[in-house]
Amino acid sequence: MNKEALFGKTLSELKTIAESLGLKPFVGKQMADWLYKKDIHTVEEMKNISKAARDKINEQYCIGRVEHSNVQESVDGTKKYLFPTANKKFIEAAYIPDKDRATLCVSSQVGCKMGCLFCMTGKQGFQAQLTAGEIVNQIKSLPEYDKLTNIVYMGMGEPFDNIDNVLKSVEIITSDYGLAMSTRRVTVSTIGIIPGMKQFLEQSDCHLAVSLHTPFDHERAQLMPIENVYPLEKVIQEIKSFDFGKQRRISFEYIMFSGINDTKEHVKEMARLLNGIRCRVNLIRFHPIPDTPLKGCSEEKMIWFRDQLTKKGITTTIRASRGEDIFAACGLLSTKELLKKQKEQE
Amino acid sequence: MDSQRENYETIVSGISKISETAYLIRIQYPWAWQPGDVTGIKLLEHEPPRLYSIAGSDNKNEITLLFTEKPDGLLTPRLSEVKKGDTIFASKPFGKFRPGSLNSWWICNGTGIAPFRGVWMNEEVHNITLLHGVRNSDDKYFNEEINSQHEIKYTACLSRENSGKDFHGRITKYLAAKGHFPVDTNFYLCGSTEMIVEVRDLLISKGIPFTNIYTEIYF
Ligand SMILES: Cc1cc2nc3c(=O)[nH]c(=O)nc-3n(C[C@H](O)[C@H](O)[C@H](O)COP(=O)(O)OP(=O)(O)OC[C@H]3O[C@@H](n4cnc5c(N)ncnc54)[C@H](O)[C@@H]3O)c2cc1C
Ligand code: SF4
Repeated sequence: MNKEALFGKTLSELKTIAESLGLKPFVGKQMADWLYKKDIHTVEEMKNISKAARDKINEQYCIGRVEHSNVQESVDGTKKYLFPTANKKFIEAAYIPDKDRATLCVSSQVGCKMGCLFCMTGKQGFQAQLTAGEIVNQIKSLPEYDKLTNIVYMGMGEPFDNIDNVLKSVEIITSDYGLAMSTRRVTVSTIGIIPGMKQFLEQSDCHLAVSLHTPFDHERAQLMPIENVYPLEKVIQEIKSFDFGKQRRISFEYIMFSGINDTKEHVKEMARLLNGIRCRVNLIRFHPIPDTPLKGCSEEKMIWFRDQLTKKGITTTIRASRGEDIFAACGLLSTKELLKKQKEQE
Repeated sequence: MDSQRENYETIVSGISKISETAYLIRIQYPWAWQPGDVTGIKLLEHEPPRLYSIAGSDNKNEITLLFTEKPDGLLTPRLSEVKKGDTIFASKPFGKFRPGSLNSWWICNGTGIAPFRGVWMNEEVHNITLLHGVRNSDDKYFNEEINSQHEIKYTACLSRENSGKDFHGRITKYLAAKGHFPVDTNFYLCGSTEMIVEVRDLLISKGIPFTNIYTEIYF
């Protein structure tokens, strides 16, 4: 029998499990402590739970922690970790150390269904949803776990296409019973799946990042097929109707493509679109993927675009490009080649 | 609340099984819609809706939807069991996929043919090339209807059957073997992510500007 993983269960789920095994609910809290505060790999190691109770748990459950199977390191210190998932699939997580912070970019799906024109993960297609455990595992099993200051859901997949597992993972990461990270240190990024985004805004306090890439709908539809179903204008409407309070941040990601989204008209339309939203725009260098018809902008153009947006009153930064040499930079995560090799071997 | 999230009770006018896994369902629908629009469908008030392209309208104040049953799916195993007169929930129409009706290529797989039916039933079409990727000839939905449309050049690409009449192989194999493409034509792609991503890459590699490629992904 395949045992179910405990890692990735919320506190209330762990209490329910304890009760279903005829144990007291506080055993659920004890399990949470072992799973998220300590570093264990077997039920046997839960030493403050009685042997009889551990045996009962062990019959049906395992811990479910998984170590990375490969790591690549960039000249700039960025590391790309490969984690195996259920059904012999793989995902990548990018560890990005910086001066005073260390960020982990986690994946939420194996592959992605959204087919954005500029993205390597999109080319891979969709293989599977990650469980909450598989998402949190990327963090807890990271060798640099103790150094982590920030988590961004910007790896493989569209988080709001896997909303239930993403919300559970966010709960575990930010709860006192879990990894106890501040919600101010966690950002979830979306291309604008409106139902999932609404659920996230209502049920979590973490920051939100929206991939914008162009303010014009016809252009956006050609870069991002989702525009046809959940148009940017509706995404912005939802965001404007939500009270973000003082602490919670909303940012917009903008990959710069030469001759496509880098003109005066784009600046003007961005200013109109974002008017009334207290936000930040992050300009991102495009890292060309194989056979792409798109080209990145020059450094000068990016600086010009940033300055124009700033003049319009929009806080704008150019995101430093990290891990390009190991394909860990934004939009480059993909295990397509790995999957192909696996298929050939099967 | 916007039209995508608000769902209204409506009545099933009819449902028919058209292949081993595919169904056509007709529902009462009082709202005006455009070819390419989708609607959200669910059976219970408090469950997430699934989206379906409007596959034309066979009667006034009705729309037709084409769907396949996914055995482990949330909605479709139950949707295939509904009967005429049952109540289901539908949203107002929405979406911005607008397949061209003139001098265009329509490329789809499986139920991705649905929005194109919305076009040929509602608009005058002229010089359309339609490529439909399916597993076998049983899945050539609307085959007879298409054959009566003289402005639609139809090719079914059968991945799992050599019918002798249709192309044997996937759409990408058909397209890869084709030498020349009109670069000033618009291409409308609808269906699975895998098909769309591969076909889009292939068209781009054959010199089609990405700005001539329009996509609707059934994610
Ligand atoms: C804009 C749009 C229009 C659509 N129009 C139509 C239509 O006209 N006709 C139609 O039949 N469907 C259409 N769909 C798909 C439809 O919304 C449902 O997803 C589908 O009917 C399955 O619903 P379900 O609840 O039965 O299955 P689900 O519960 O959604 O999932 C079924 C199974 O498939 C797996 N799965 C889901 N998506 C994928 C994927 N992309 N790749 C691999 N595995 C996957 C799931 O994990 C699960 O095992 C459309 C989707 C979109 C976004
Ligand atoms: S950019 Fe994000 S949503 Fe788009 S294909 Fe890549 S992973 Fe998916």
